[in-house]
Amino acid sequence: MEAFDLLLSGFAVALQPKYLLFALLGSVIGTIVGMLPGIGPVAGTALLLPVTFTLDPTASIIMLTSIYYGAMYGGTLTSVLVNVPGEAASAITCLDGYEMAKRGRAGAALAIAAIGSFVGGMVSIAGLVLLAGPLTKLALLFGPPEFFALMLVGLSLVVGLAGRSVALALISAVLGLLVAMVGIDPVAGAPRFTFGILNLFSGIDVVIVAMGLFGIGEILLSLENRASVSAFGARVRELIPTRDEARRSLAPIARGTGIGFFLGLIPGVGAVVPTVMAYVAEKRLSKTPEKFGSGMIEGVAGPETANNSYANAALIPLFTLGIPGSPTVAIIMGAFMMKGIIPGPFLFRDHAALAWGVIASFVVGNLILLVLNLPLIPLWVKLLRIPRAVLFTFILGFCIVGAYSINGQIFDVGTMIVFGVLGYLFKKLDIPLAPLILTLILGPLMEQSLRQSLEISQGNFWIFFNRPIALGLILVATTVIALSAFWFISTVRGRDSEI
Amino acid sequence: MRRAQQIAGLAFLALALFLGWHATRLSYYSTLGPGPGFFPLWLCGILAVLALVVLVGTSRAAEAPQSFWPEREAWAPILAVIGGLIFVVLAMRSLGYVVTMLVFYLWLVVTLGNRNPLIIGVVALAGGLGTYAVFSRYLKQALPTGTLWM
Repeated sequence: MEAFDLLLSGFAVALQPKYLLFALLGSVIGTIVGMLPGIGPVAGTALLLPVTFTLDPTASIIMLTSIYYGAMYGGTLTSVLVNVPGEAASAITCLDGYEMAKRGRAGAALAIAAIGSFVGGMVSIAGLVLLAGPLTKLALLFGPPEFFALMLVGLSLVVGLAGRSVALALISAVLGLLVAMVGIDPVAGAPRFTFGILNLFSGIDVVIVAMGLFGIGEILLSLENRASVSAFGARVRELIPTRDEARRSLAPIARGTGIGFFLGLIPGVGAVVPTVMAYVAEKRLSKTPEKFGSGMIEGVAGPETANNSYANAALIPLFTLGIPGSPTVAIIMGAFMMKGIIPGPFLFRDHAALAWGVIASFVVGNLILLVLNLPLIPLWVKLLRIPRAVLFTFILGFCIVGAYSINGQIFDVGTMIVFGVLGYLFKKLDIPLAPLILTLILGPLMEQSLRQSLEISQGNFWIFFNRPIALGLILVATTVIALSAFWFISTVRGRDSEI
Repeated sequence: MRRAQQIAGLAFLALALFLGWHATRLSYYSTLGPGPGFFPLWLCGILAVLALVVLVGTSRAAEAPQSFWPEREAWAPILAVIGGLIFVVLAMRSLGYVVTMLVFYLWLVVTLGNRNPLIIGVVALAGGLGTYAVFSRYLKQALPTGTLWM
């Protein structure tokens, strides 16, 4: 019960008018970010990070997390109304959501999606509250070797779950670690990979890299696709689902919550996997699987619940262990670090008011999304009519001013452009970007814990194997890498034998 | 697509060798433990091995159906965006934020396909002056004022 008492104290923070305003603002901006094509939650969060510079840490994190789950909801609106997902995780909702919209049930689809998202979000937050204590107590036993092993687990999961090419995902991860090496070495004070350029001595900021890779890179890719949203096939009439629709949504919402929550705990899964898994589960369990794709409410309720449940659960590894599970969460971690706060076990000890205030704000933010968004649907639809030329121009303009604002350096704008072009090329080459951004955040922490460990042991690597927690974590990392390599090799062999 | 992946593999190999050479100039190990060159050198080694895996893998793989290069009509907007961004980096210090961004917004909104003079004007003014007002006045960010006017 101690955790819930602490959560109640968090509400005392989150319900202050100032923080309520930032949660509201973040939810609205996030919804817009999620709706508009060409800008996903990662770029949206990175882009708006400079806006939070002048805010206190609690307000800053509340606003960024509200943008994060607001974006998850925003993507649903366009999937249902226009058959165009605002962000990748909502793509699966197009299948049945748009079909429902064509039959005049857009309002019901959006209402069920909002209710499911709320339920999924609430359960994940309850999970965070319950897990925060035990995980934090466990993590307090961690020394540098255990932290290094934990980072290895995070890294192995990110790479292992990367999908088609483990080699390309590993390249992305190694590049992220190399970018993290740029600057003054924190232990010996020697400059690394700076090539005499003074601006590189302080390193390359993760937000600049994220804005380049996910903001500019995404826009360059979108410019190849000339298709634009010209007309709306659906109008929102009736928001209240029928009794039958509500009854059929109950089980998918429960299953979506479970799927999203458990996948959210695993770093590197990505928001698309839970939604697809929830959709496949509903189709498999349905007595009428052939009707999926023609406007089944189960095809909206399951994935949308999983989406928001995942989004909230993905914050659990960040808050308790200091491991970002997805690129957007990595940006939020960057925001913590910019405010001089390291997320992880010490967060609840050293910054308890902030931590519980932010967690309580998740409940508030989810409520705001539920209450506010449905009546505002006509307004959101109007926003979608902004011409692409205007939209992309403003996004690029915000990238520039955002990158400049971080350190007041034009050099950073140039760095962002370089990473923008790299992001575009990497996407064309099927090189996943998530490992790069995650290792860029984890890299310095990983190196620091490795070097601290070896200093403790006077250079003896045995320190990682004679401590039970570190050994256990290294075994987990090795198993994940071995399994993914095995899976990769068997897939390649299978492909060869098909040929 | 296969050719592009082979070129990427070669580029990663070259990058690994170049950065690895730089890493060898840093201290690898000291009495205190690993030096500043320890982690980078291992990373460059791993990158080189992975680049070779990609090179060998793509040489053996079948040609993918999709092309790496964009279609001809997509080149113009892509180059317009990259050109506009480079202009900002080169001009911001001397022209200042407002003038540079006015030109940038005008250039992009036109080259990306908008021909409505009212929209073009509103976008340029909002982008140049509007964002300056928001970021410098309300968010207290010091944006460049330009050296040409001083």
